[in-house]
Amino acid sequence: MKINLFGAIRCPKNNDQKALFLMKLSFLFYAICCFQLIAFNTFAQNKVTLDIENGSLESIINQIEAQTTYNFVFNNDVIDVQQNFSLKVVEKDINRTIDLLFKRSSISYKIKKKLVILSQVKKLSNNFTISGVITDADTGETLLGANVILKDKGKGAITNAYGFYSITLPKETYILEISYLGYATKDIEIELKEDIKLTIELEPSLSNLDEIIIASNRSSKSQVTSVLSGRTKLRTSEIKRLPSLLGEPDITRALLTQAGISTTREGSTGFSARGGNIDQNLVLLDEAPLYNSSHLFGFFSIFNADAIKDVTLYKGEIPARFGGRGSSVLDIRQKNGNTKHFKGEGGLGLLFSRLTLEGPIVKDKFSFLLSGRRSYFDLFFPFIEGAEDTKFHFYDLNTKLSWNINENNTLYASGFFGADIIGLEEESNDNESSIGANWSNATTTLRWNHVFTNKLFANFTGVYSKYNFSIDEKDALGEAVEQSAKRSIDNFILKPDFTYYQSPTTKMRFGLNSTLYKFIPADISSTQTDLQIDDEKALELAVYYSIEKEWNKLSVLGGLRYSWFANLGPGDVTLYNPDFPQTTNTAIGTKNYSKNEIIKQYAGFEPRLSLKYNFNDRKAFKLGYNRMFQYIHLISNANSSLPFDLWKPSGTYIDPLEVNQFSAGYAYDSQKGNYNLSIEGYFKTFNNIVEYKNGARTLSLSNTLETELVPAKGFAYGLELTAHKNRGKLTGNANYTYSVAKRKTVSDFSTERINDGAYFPSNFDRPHMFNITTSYKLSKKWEMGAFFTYQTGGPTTQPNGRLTFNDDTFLTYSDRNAYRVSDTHRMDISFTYTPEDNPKTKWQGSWNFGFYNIYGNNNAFSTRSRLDNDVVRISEISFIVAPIPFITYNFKF
Amino acid sequence: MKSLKYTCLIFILLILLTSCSGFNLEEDIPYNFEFQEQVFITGLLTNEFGFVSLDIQKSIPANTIGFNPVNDAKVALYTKGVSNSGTVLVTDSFTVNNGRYTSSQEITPTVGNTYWTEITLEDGTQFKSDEEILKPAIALTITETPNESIRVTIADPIDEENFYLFYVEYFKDDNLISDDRGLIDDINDESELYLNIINHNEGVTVKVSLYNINFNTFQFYNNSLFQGENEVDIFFAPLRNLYGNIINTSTNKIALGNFGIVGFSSVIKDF
Repeated sequence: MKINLFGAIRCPKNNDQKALFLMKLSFLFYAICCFQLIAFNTFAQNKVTLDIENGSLESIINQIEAQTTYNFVFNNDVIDVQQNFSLKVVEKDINRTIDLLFKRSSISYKIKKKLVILSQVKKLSNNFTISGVITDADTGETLLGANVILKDKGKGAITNAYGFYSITLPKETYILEISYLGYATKDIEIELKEDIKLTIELEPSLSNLDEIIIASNRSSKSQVTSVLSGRTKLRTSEIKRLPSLLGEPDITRALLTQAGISTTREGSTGFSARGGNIDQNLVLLDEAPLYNSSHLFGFFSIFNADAIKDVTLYKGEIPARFGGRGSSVLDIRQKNGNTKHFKGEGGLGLLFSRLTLEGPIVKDKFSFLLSGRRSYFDLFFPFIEGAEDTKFHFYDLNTKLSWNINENNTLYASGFFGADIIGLEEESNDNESSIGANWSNATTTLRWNHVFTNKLFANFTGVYSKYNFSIDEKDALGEAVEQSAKRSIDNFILKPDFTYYQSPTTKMRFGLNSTLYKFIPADISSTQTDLQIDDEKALELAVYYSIEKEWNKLSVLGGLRYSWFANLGPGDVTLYNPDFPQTTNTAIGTKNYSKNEIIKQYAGFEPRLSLKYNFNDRKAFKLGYNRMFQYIHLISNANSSLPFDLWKPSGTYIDPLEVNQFSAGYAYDSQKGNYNLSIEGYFKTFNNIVEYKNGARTLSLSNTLETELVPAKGFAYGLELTAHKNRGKLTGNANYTYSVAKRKTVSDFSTERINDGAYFPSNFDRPHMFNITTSYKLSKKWEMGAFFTYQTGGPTTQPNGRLTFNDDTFLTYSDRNAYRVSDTHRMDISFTYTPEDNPKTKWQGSWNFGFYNIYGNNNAFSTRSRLDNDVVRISEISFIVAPIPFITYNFKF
Repeated sequence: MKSLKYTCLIFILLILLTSCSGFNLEEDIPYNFEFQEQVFITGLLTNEFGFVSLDIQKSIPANTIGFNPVNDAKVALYTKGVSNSGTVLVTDSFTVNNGRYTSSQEITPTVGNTYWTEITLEDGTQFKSDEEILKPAIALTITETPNESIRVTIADPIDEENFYLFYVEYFKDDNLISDDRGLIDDINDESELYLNIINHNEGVTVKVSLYNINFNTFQFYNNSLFQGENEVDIFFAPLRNLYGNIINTSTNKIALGNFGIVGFSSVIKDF
């Protein structure tokens, strides 16, 4: 052990050392004298007592000089002694007094002996920051995407996902214009001479004041303001106005009204963004990923509109903070819960109902949200002969707690649970059988917002998300069968995210994403088989940085993301003879990996760039480029996505999907913002898409799934035209999309190549899509909504000939997706009747009724072809072939 | 208020009317997909001395019944020796009968040699099968097992990756009463390959035929077995066409059919 002794100085023995010793001793005395001098200065009679409110600097200086032995030195040209200061000190030391006096000013000081020398700090420090949160005055709900604009200067900020804004400006007096769609615009005069924290409350506009709601272009559907192209924001108020199946506001169906968004088939789950597969959409609910966003096989989305605050879809340029999916991000945020009053809302429908309760636990501090839905189809089954024992219902529950700890810290805990349950039972004299299935999503999100400084905002998120599917079967006939299979995917996510607001024109965002995946492809329990499928585990890490900068007319959002992914053991990887295609017949062995051993890893840079050039404040041209890596894949059959489809991580035989997108667009707003027009074009390339081989056993369970798959690459391009009308009795939007999406398989073996390696239309190829959504205010009480859609029929593969071989008939099949099912089109209408509010009660009710598919068009969900008694039979399967009426009573209290 | 009552009444009536309209989930639709005529070539060349034959037909529309033989094609059979000493025409003399082309002379194939066929249609379209090596016949032995089944043991060569097509035919009084077929792969280099046959009765003759085939021929028969099991539906990927080892050399694309070069062996057992 080394011990340093500082308390004693030993005397040296020789002359040289003596000289050195004397020098050291002299230095010690000198140092002691200096310390003594400092102490004398510090502890002399220099205490100050002052209580001045807005007094001039000159008077304060005079009083300090009078009370102490200190004098002030400054240049009158630099220091304005007439500026006012406030100071309250009692018997405070001079240093502390002066420190307090100039703490929030642009004056710096130095104390030398008995002199206080004042000087002006650099001009940069003359900037001050105004920051805070914008909330709804009635509910306390934070408003994300609200505009804070410097009036007459055009600069400003937009609140982030937590309602936070920060603007750093030179010292001056400003008028801030705060606006948000559906709220009265507010002007606030700010004298910016110090950093300010300001929470701003906006009053919701009354519906009969609709004409003045949209006071600014910035609040409309303008695409001119955002530097990103291909970004769509939907508010639940808009979604609720759309006609919907059985009267249930549906976020996924609302997305399908947007340009470039299509579904594989009427009634199928999920959506395709710009030619991408369903699994290429990252669906986030309060930052938790969801792996199946539908109830009832796709007829209803799992999102309860009453619990949702904001929906943003990124289908073009995607900010660097998002990753892990190839084509789009659907970012859905739940309400925080009313911090001011207890409130409720809900709806009573023909086949399901919903109820939302929210309110403060501690006013303005701590709030809750509880929102649930349940279908009750099953209540009618006992009255239907033969279906008495059938179970079929779905439900979901959204919950959230928000705790505003102080102005710098907020905690959010939110959760979602949704499930579909199906059960069929059959009982006869000699047999009793049942089959049941259920699938569920469960998420928990914990977030901590922390304002480090008024320019640095941070959010720390922890997420647990689980998707689960299970099926069980019992059959008492003959040899009793009892079997069940469970499939699930678990995510554990940690995401620190930082935003630095350098100036009104420069903003930086950086952070880390880490996701641990656990996949259970099939947990089988059976009296018939002992098949076991290996679980899989994977880790995905990503760091990102982005900067958004505005000049006079040019805006840039550049970002870079670096992601790393590893498929981890334990696991067995099947090895194949490289001279043959991968089939179960060509397997030659397995390689074993131990726990947490890296089976295969991938990494790559994902650059993002968005450019916007404003010709003026109503016209803008945009350019963008995105690269996205996707490390997990939905192994879906060729035609549709279903709840039991399998998610599979990239690994030895499945490379990550890489999507590159180039986009360009032009946005135009009319003079008063009544109309917004945009035209956007895109070109996308896809590498390593997973396709099922022809003849693949899509429902089989095995540890060699790769033998059913073949990698593919592809491209998609399209043009989207969108027009919005924002004001007047008639509002709405119309859009047309021309798009092409093609694929080709890549394999060294001709037997694996689909269409002999030529390009074929992807399942999501829709050359023409046209949507029109309108809302017409008939009177103060009545409003009518209508939606019409037309889409080119989806591609399909069909038999195109027959031949005889060994005396049996065989069919020849067309190239993959060589034909199309019939074009689909549909019109929905709805009427909303809102009686006048009763001033004696808080209860507000409205009736919503109408027809889904009003002219009963038969839109095919899928086609089926088979050889039946030597005759080829083709049939179309449709779920909705008649107008579906709906009526819902919506209420608020 | 009156107008609201009327609206509600009309709405309820509409609900009742539309509810009675019914829902038909699946409906047959007329077959109106465009027919694409394709040529289908099948045949086998075994190691046995004899005539070589192959069948050529064109597909017919899927919703019709019949057979469309091609009787005007030119067929040639080629070989190359083990030393790859150059292409030799084995024969281009075939007689045709209802799409079946049979060599005019009997042929003595040589194990180890490479064989393929080239076909030219009347319109000039040319097809060629893969050049495949003729594998040797594999010895089969039959043994009876205690549980009243028979075991056909395949003398599978060690350290070779082989694929087999087998037929099991059941005869009674020289009449074929049933048959089974299947595929075996030996890529895992199993120590012993055998077939267990349990479906036999007294007075029945069982004939087991084994074809030592190449991988593409294996895939062709695999495709044909698969196609019989499935239908084109939402739950399935599109089915495989009967592709094997035929290439349309005019377009350089894979074509329907297969001309297998196989080692053939068989055993017969009377019960």
